[in-house]
Amino acid sequence: MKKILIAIAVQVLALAACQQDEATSGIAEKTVIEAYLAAGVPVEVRISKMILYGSDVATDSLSDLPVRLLHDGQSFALAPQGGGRYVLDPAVLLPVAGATYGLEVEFQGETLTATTNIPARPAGMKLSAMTFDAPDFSGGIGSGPPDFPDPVKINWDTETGAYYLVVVENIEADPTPLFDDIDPDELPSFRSEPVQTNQYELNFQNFKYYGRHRVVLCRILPEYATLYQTNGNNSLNLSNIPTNILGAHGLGIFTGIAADTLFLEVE
Amino acid sequence: MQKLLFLACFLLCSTAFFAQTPDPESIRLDNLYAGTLAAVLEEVSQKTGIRFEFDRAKFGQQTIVHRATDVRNLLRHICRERDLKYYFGPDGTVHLVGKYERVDTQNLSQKQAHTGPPTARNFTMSGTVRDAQSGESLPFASVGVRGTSIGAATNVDGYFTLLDVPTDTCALTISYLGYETITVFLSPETPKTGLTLELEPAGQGLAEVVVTAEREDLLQTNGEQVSMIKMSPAKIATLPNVGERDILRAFQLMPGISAANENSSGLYVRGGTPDQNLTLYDGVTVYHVDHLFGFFSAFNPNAVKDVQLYKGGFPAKFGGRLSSVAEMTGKEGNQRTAAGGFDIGLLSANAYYERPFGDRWAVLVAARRSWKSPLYNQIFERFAGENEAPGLPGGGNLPSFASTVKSYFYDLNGKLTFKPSSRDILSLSLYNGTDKMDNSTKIELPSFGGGEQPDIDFGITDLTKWGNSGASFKWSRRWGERFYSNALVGYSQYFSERDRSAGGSFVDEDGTEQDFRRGTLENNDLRDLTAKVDFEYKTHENNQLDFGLQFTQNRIAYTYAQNDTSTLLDRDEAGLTSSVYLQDKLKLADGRLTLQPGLRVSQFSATQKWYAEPRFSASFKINNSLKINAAAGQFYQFANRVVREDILQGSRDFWILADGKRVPVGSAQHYIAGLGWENSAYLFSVEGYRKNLHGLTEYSLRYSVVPGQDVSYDENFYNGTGYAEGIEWLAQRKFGNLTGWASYTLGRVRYNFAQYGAADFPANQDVTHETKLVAQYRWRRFDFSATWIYATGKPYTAPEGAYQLTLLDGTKQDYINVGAKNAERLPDYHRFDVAATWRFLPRPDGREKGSIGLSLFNVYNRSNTWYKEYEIVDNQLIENNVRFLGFTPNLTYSFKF
Repeated sequence: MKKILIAIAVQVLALAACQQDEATSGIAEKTVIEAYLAAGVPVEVRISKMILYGSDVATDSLSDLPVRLLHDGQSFALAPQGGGRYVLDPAVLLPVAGATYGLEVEFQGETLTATTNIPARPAGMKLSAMTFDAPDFSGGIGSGPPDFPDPVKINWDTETGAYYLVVVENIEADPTPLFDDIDPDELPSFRSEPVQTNQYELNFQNFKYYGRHRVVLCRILPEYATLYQTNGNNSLNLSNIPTNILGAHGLGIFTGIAADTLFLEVE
Repeated sequence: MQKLLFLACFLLCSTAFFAQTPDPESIRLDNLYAGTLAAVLEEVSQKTGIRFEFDRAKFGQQTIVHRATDVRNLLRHICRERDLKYYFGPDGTVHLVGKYERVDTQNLSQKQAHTGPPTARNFTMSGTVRDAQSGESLPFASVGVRGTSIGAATNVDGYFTLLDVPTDTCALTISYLGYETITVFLSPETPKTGLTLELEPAGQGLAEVVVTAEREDLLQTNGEQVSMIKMSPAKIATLPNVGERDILRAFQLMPGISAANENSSGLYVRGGTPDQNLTLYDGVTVYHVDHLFGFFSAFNPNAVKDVQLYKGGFPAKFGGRLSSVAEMTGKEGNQRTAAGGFDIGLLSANAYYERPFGDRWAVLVAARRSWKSPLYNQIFERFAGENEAPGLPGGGNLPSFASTVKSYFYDLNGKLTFKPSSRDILSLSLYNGTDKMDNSTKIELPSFGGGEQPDIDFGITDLTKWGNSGASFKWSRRWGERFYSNALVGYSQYFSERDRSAGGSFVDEDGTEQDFRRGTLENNDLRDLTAKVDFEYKTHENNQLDFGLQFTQNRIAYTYAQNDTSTLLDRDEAGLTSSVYLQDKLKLADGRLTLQPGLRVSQFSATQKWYAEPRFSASFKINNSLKINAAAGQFYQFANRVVREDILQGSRDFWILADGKRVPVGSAQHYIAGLGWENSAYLFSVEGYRKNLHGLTEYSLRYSVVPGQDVSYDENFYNGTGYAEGIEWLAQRKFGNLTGWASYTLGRVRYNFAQYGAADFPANQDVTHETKLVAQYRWRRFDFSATWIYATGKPYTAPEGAYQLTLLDGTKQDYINVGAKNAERLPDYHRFDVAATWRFLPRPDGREKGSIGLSLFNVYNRSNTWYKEYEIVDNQLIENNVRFLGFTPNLTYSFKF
């Protein structure tokens, strides 16, 4: 009887030990690839490790992987720059609009691949006004709410089914805030959600600073648009992450973009 | 279809051939009566032959003036005017007593068996079982001939028929959950038809000490129907609660029903989900039963008379669900006098009023509404506090504007009952309940300076609203002693609206109003129009046939839209389910063996297919205490509630009609076997079950993203199979001041969806071990109760890891890489609750007018985990547990008049 009990205890302990092993070592390491290709812009790829669940060790970038760009049947090796950054000498290759590019990364014996193309630059971009006249916020108590200016409309010629994204960025070296309570750590930029329309309206309420702003209209691809869908942040609503990196150990984004830019003044 | 309609007409017409029998209350008088009570009743007695018994010294000289149409009309007038009540004794004598006088039916008949020889043998006896105080009929009460296997249950309207009663000198035993069991000795004078048997609520007031009858507990199980449990709505008030006593919450304390769901009052029965449970309220299907994030259910206990739950293997009478049936019968309203009451707790106020109108009408109205107490706010913040306002258009920020959360729920119940004759009952039942939570912010900027500047009307909408409406009209008719019909037309609607968006309008420089809206909009609208007729036919003393027809027209729409321009999912489907059923209840071997074979056949218009559902159950009494039972059956479900895997806020599920393609018709096979030992004080039972499930559906965007292609939302219905199996143990003490039960369930629910991999995975509702201890103790005018619940943690999907990407505008976005489906378990759930109720202001009948209840929820403040949140901080994946409610006290004050 005693032997049986000891045998059972050993079995239970062995089972517990196995479960423990499974919990900590069952998750495979994965790479996270991040690369945006634009016509005329040198190719740059960033690679890091996925942060493992249950691990209390902060993960690092990966700086010693073989990384290649594929184009027209040719392969071009990217040079590691440290910090997970890889670049391709622009003298060797500069991306062009309408072309297709591939990426290969060697990681733990697996070749991770991705393919994208660089879309044509958005055509016909127009702004309905070149300036925003900021309302007077110094009215004090009793003066009522300020009168906001009309929105500035951005129009462009859309292609059927194409996705666009608008990014607005203040380009002043030391911009003056519109309101007193602007968080100094907040980026001096904002963006739209991906849209499939041919216009977007910039409301004055979206701006945080006076001065010159760059209004960038990006033509983006579906693989990038899907990054704007939330994939949940808790155990009730987690869903798979959108990625166009193929391979069991690959995550992230490799996509082409094209953009046109106009400027807007907030006075 | 034509055949079904023809059959319905035939069945309705054929009922006219069944014989009818006279009813003493219906004897016509058509006379003006004026004089003392004693003189008037003497005159009536001479005319009709009915004998009257009453306290002549106390009531005999009271004056009566009334033109009476029949005996019932006269008696009801007298009772109403003089605060009396009446009933027929077993010998046919009419007894009049004070309205609050406690009735001992045994005294009214005979204390002992009739000593003379019987004058009739093997005759049929019928009548009604009622609540002695209110005159409410008692459905599904048990009436049996003592010492024999002859017995019957009252039907939903309280009628019973006993065929082949051996002699007119034997004794009847009448029992009903929550009421004193009584024995009535028959005599040759006892009427054979129209007998009214009245039961007193159990354990009420001081009179209890002299009552010798048996006492029934809150819970009744191990009856003739396999896997069915009954609960007394009147007795759930003594159980611990949060804010409001609740019928479905009380059911969650029963074995086989999962209790570790603070955020759902729906019933998870034997591994099934709430949508797989058919919830019937007065014959109408209720599709969503949650109030206040599911913290308690939509059913007002003041309006409910009877509840029974079939945990599996349910009869052919019921269809359209895979797992179980909860059948609730609403109160008709007091038949004898006006009555009412109210309850005020820390969540809501609840009031009801009931009264008869004339001799044949009765009405009941009940209403509840929440109010903003600290407890309400605590629950609201815990369950709604995770909501974040949707992002503003363009991702920018406005100067902050304060918003006030507006939130409430209410429900209304009404029932009107009309009894045009002693054979017919017409009733109209209405229900309406709504939950609304509005966390919206609205900013209006009027123009200044003579309107030269544009108006801006901007708002962030965060609105959740859901509710049910239901109405049913029912006609019940007793065609003869053996034949009864119940025809019903019902309408049920469920809606759920979710609007999390930012938007508004402004007037531009051209004077044109421009609208804009960005965010998520969900809308689910379900309508159910049902017509059905049920028949009961007792072919002989040991056999009853039940058969009927049901037609249900469903229309279910669901839309899921983003930014008011792109509708991602838009379904609007209608379908007619036509069903016919036949079931037989047969008793063999001197009543020791009960067999219940049945068949339900349905035709579903959306798939143009027929579905046959054979059912069978059997129970065998090995001896007076020991019984074995078994059941098996096939079940189909045509309207499914589909769970969305990918969202947290708002409705995580939506109703949708099967189309046989992306959403298949669900099906299940049940296999049940059990053993029970029971005497008058204790019950021990064990029951095992296995359910095979097919056609399960889940909606998810988990695999929707295909690089290089547009997102397709309509194709993300995943289909799978599954099974649920388990064993339930129950030990119950039913008698004495200390009652209660201990139950343990060992269970397993596994699903298999190809999209999640080849292996089975634990379903969301899977609980391996679940233990419940429930104790109730009565001391003087105090009721004490305590419950302890322990359950294995629910499965959840954990991430494998996470990373950040820098988007084109420079912001960093977190992405969490999902791991295997439901591969991890939350910590075990356990909780201890206690409650004490003090009853005061006793009335002459021993019942108390008022009570104060103190309830302590989660006494040892266990931090039970609801779900886990993840975020990336300093290049690490941080996990936070979101908890259910901690220690929560509640006080309830109730008053009845």
